[in-house]
Amino acid sequence: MMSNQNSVQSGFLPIPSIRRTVSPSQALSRSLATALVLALLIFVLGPLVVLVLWAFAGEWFYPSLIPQKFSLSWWSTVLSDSHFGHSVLLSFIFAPVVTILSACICLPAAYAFSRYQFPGRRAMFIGIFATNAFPKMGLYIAIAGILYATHLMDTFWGVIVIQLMNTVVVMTWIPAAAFSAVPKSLEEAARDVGAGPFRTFWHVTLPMARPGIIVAMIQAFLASFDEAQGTFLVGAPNYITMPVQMYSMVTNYPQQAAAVYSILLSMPSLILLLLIRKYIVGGYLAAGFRMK
Amino acid sequence: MAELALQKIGKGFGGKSVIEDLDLHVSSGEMVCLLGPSGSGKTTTLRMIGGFILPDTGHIFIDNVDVSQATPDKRPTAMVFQQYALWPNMTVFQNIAFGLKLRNLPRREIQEKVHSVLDLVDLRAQAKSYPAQLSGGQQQRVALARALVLKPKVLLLDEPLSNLDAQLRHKVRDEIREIQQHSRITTVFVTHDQDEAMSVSDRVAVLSAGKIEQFDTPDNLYAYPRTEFVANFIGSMNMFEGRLVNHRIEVNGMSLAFPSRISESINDVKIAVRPEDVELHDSSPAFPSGAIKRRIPRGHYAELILETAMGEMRAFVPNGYSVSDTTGFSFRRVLVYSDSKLLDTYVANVDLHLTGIGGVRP
Amino acid sequence: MVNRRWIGFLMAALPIAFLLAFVGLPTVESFFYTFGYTGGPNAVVSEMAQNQVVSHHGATLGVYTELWKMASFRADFIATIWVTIASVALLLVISWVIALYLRFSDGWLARVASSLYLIPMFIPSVIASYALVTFWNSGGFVDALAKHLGDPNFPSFGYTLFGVVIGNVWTGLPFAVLMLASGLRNVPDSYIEAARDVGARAWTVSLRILLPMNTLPIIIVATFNCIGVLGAYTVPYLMGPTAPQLLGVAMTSYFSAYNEPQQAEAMAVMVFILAAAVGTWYVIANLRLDRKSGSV
Repeated sequence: MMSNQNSVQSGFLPIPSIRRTVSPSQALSRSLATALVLALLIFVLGPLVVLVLWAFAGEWFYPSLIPQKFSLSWWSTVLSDSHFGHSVLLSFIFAPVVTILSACICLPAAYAFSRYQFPGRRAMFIGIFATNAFPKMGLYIAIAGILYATHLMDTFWGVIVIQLMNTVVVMTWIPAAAFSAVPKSLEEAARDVGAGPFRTFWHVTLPMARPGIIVAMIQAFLASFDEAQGTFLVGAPNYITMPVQMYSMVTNYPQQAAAVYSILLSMPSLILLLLIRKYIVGGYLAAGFRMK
Repeated sequence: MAELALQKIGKGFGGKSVIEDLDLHVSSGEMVCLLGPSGSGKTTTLRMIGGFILPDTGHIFIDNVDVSQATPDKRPTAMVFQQYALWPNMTVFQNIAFGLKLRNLPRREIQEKVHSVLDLVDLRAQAKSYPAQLSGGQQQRVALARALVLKPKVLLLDEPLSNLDAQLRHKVRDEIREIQQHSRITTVFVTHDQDEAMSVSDRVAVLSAGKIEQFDTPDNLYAYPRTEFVANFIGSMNMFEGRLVNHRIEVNGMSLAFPSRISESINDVKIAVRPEDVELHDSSPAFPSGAIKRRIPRGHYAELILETAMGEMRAFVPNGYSVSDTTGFSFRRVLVYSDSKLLDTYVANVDLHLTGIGGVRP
Repeated sequence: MVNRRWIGFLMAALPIAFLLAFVGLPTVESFFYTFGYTGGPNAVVSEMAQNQVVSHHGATLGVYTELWKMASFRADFIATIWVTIASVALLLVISWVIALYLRFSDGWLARVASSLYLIPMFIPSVIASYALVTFWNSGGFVDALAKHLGDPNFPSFGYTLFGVVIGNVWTGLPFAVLMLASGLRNVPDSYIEAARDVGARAWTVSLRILLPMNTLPIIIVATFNCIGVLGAYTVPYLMGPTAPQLLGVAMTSYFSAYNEPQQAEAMAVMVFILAAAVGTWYVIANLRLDRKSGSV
């Protein structure tokens, strides 16, 4: 590919064009990228793939790379276990209750933080973050004292309180950012054509902030669904949710049973997060963690 | 001081051609403007000169060196971005010094160079400020200083004035021109604002749909628009469709004298008249007449919309006419287009029986 | 507008009140408890507690000095600091590289990567730790693979401090990459092009332009992970060694196994002080950047 014709005509030096040939640096960066993605693939997926293999393994002895025998028998063992059914039921009661309660408590606050000016606004907003600063385990132990004193230990509401605590930050910060992202002029335009404050909120603000709120609610749902340490401390032995059950599976059952159980426990999170994946990647989660 | 040449440049995105066979030759020290509506390919062309996009075909030469496939850091070009792109984490000084530091110049030299370019753009006092603390006009000048400090062979400006308000725009426009003339740096400038293009450039390249319609001085562009597109795009223009019949051009029943130089094989033509070339007269049988439909005050003159047998027509006239008056009119100067190319120019001063005394300028 | 102000305040006060009751109050109580105060709500806990330091007049540092005298606690403390720093540093480097890659690439490989890094968010941490320890453990998959590839001496990371680091990086990856990628996405192309234009190579652009323009997301990732790792329980419990233990695990054993809640709370207070220091850094960084930048 020489540019001779044109170049000679107009008196320019003919220089060979390098277009459409891959330069060494391009090839290098491409293979680096491939190596990076491959490493990420093994690092992230490797443990999970092995776990799935375990769930279907009849026999798997070191150092074989795949199971010697496959079997479905552990699935029936786990699914027919009465503890399993009970813990699933509990998890699916706690998580929605916590999510809805959290939304009731936190969403008005999120709206207030993004739209109203009031004394102590900033301090309160940052103060919510303080929940995250105290180590979870230490906090649970401290709360246990209070729960003993108020006779909430080993009760339904004791578990709710523990799980609710973990949802406040996401349920306030992410929706607050979502409300703030709704241009004020859109609300003003709605007021201008005659909508009252409530209608404006319902028909303009809320729909536009909805993705952020959905992300927050699902995060809250999962925070409750996956919570094990606090639930174990406060709820055991009456309230054994799925993740709490998992602790005893890990220590007391054969690898296959724990693997089967892991897959079952991951399913709800997986489905929920797949549903909101585009919102999460779209930056609603990230926006929540920049203070405004 | 450097020559810039684009040869048969072509670029497509996703199978759609944006630029086709584009040639452009910018002389040393010249300031050239790429002017066109959005989507005409002017910014793509500028970004190809800067190396931010690589052309699919063709070559770009700076001082006879082919830089077509070089990345921006390897090109002797410097760009002033539309949003200025001043790094917010660096002060004005650091922004300007960044490129010099990458070249491992000694501290003293960096300081001298930065300070001298800050003097040039009159921002010495703001050296320690962060971009967010500056006004729009100041940010613009920092961006210019950052580009100039590397002594590029070609300076590229991507709609540099679009973020400024109207008053500031005129001031900064003149400043840029002054700095450019002072440093005699070859400059390519992109804008969609023809006023801006006409007032600062040595030459203007009018682009439409990825092609250069005309590359000429501002005066020529206005007086001799080579294509119908340029005629319509630059300034204001009345256009009428007509037919060449019996040595005359007929426009909706009115007829104009035959331009003898036009080949008889041509049938359909268009005539174009600038509003300031429409001359009004007292109503008399000697002139065709029109009714004044609207009058738009323009300050020291007025724009009239006339209803005539030829169709609607704009005229720039001294103040004093009022709506619903009837008036006679004639043309001082007429351009004739066929197949959207300029065929001929006529200058007349009496009436519509025009005589061909002008000519197409080369 | 006085009305509106108070409506806003009341709306915002709801979660605050909840947090004050169930986080603030217990924190303060347990804080006093570690200094020997066993009255009030602490009474129930202290009745069952063993090995308690009680002060009837003023405060005592008894629990703290007792803890610091124990070599095992000092080892736990140092291990916690080490794991926290290593986890955060490794996580930042890895997620920065991935975020950079995602910012500047498209095509199917980048799309694969952009789904991959999110996966750990989908997996509850109990399961993640369990899967990771099975994978990296001696006799696990990596071990078997190393043996097949001819390296029988490949170290196994299960039940080691580095294993905990791996676990923290794995579970922290989605949040970190999300934050950094969203930060990088907010840097307009023209800033990068402007740097390329004055001669900067990719490496320089990354370090001199993108890094300083993303201090806030980086600080957010660092603080949240730091705080998370300092008080973590699940990952170190399932992946870490029996000794030294990380403080999150140690305080649980002191509370439930040894029945020494005061010691457990003292550890929590110490972790809290570390976390609060990091948290303060986060808040200050936020405020300072708020003041400085008007443009991005």
